[in-house]
Amino acid sequence: MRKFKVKTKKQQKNLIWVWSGLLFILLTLIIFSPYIFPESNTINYSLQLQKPSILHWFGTDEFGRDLFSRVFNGMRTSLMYSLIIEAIALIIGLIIGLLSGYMGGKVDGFLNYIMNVFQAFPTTIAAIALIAVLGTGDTTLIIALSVMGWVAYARIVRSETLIFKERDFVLGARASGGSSAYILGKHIFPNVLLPILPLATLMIGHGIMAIASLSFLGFGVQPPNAEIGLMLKDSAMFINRAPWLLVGPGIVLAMVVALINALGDAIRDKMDPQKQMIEI
Amino acid sequence: MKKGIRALVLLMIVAVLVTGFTGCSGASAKDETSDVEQTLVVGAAKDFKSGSEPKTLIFDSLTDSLEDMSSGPRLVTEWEKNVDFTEYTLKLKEGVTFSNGEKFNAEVAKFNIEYWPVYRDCGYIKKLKSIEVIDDNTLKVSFNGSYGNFIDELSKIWVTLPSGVDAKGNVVDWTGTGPYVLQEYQADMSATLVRNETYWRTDKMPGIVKIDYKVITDENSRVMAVKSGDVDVIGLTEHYTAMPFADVPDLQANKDLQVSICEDYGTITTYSLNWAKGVCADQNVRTAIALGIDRDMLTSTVLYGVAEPTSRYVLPTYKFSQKEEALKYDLTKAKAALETSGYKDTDGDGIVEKDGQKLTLKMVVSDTQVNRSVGVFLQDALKKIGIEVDLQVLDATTTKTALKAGDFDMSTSHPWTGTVVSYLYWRGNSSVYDDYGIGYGVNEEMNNLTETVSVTGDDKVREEEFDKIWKIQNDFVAGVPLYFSQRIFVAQSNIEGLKFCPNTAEVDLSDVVIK
Repeated sequence: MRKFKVKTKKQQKNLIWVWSGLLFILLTLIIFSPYIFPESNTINYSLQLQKPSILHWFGTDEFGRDLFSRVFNGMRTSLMYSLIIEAIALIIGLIIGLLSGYMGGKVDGFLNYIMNVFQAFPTTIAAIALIAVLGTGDTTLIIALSVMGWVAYARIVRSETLIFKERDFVLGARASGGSSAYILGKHIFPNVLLPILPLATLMIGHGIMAIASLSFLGFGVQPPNAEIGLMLKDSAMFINRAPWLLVGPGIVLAMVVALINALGDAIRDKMDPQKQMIEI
Repeated sequence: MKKGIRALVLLMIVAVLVTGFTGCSGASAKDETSDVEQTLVVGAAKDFKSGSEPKTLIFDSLTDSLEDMSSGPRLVTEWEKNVDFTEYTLKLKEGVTFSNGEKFNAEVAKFNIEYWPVYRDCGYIKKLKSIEVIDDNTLKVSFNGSYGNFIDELSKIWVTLPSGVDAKGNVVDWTGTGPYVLQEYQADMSATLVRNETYWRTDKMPGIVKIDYKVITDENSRVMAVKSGDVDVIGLTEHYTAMPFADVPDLQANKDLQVSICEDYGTITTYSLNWAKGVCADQNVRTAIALGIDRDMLTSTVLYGVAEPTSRYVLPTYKFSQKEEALKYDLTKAKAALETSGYKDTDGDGIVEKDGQKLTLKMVVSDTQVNRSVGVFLQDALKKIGIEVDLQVLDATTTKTALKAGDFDMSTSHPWTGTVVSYLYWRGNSSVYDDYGIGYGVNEEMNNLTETVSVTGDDKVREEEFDKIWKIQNDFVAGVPLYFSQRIFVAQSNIEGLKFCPNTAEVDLSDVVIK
């Protein structure tokens, strides 16, 4: 017999605090890394490929650069780009989702078709194709991942808009002569924001992974800037000689993405009563 | 006494039989291990039909490249030339057949001499007047003017069937006269070759009966493949260092593997400077760059002591190479060169400026591990003399597009390579942008010297002309030679007889056996 346990609000709150707390510590190191570790790009060949030690917690790379500081500097780059990418994707997704859900009819059909087309392409492959056309670079990387990332937001916003546009307060606003722009901006937009918050949190983690993947494949951030994917790529060459080069970046990448995802899940659970039940 | 004579006779019979069985069979050392399957598994960087080297397993060249990069006989066995090098009489090897049984004769040779030069950067096509078939094995080649480099350039003509090519320089029928026959081929994946049992060069008949050619594009994966025993050898079908330098010391320490490093032949990794436009149009900036790079440091750090530092364009082992090293590392002179052009660090940020503009170079490199590492090294090195480098590590196609458009200040490039004279005709005297940056045809004098080199067949004259060419190149600094990038074979320890060819693009398996 299946039993379900409902998480109490206190439990949910505690979980969010735990994830937030851990993430806060990591984010502090990441965000302030240029000030905490200002020498992360400084080359010192006499320290080439040093093993992890008290002085260099993750060891040093082939240029004698401290890997610990570079990991956090690299994660800062990834996180910053990921936030920009998600912000752009969110804006595009919001606009298209709102229009599609609210306008309905042919507009909805057309925008749905566009969404299906975009969703048909695997994100990384499509991003590589775009980068091949636009050329490598930070800006291209952001454009490529934003262009492919808005669909998930648009789908949720559209479905929420379809629900909210039939609600009494929206029907009332329309009956009292409110324009479409007014209704969308004043009544529907604030209500669809909350449901996409968990998704936005999860997508930050996805964004970091996507940037790392593209950098690993040589389509992302340019050296000597630190970036996790690029660092993993460069470390691959030393997999036998200096395996620790892979461990540090890998652990921090996994931790940050896992924490962001856990936080996103916790927020989603808190906001969705149906998801508050877990199987025991 | 009789017993003694009998014993002696018996001994002689045994000796004769032993000698006969080993000698008369034509067996070489390679056949002594006939119980071991002679199949060589090669891990290669490129598709079989894309690289320069694999084709040399299928086809023969008209002449051979010798150790000093001069020419020796091959399908063309003898040649005579007139005094002013306007007429050549070529004698062809008799009795040679393609692996499908078709004959190699003067008509086939004529077709190849006329068809291939435009696709193989042979300068003789510009002066070729006519080719007359004298008989089945003799050709008379006439030129409009003197052309002394003809025989050398025939080493770049790999003979195909006249019906085996399309109109754009592509081989459509891989049937050759060479040591192997292409049996199976999957684009970008693999190829299988079997020995050409009728190969005409009996002294070069390979011991390896079958070759499994596996395409492994990632350099780290190739290293893993040879370490795990999935392939027998890597680096064999590439004319450059086809593995991360960092792995070489580890591979050398591995008892199951043997690492062969070619000390005498190979190319020198050279970066191109965009001398036609941008900041590198300034002679002093180019000089400062050449002086500002510590090549010893480069090779001992990011190249792990494997590569040899040099500021020459060509190895001294090659004919007509530079006699001396060019500009060497000198930080003070490098800074002084920039100051001569009016560059000064006025705001104290470590980067020099002129007319309010910071001296920033756009360095474009194709994305390999070595290029990335060298790129970061150069970026750091040039910063020390006040030059900021915007490093762009791009995929191979984007790199070529950028270089062809002249959208770079400094870039990875194609090295001067053998033969030196052939390179001179290809990029050495070119002043246009191509897939590898910009050529070395920096002034009118280079044109005149190129013409003189092509006209004369006298090596002494060529030597003198090349001295002038190297002087121009050393002074002008159109490129920056950095290090000798050796060919490196990594093979399983039971593979014997691997050797490097003077012609860096040729694979010679004639002595290879698997023990």
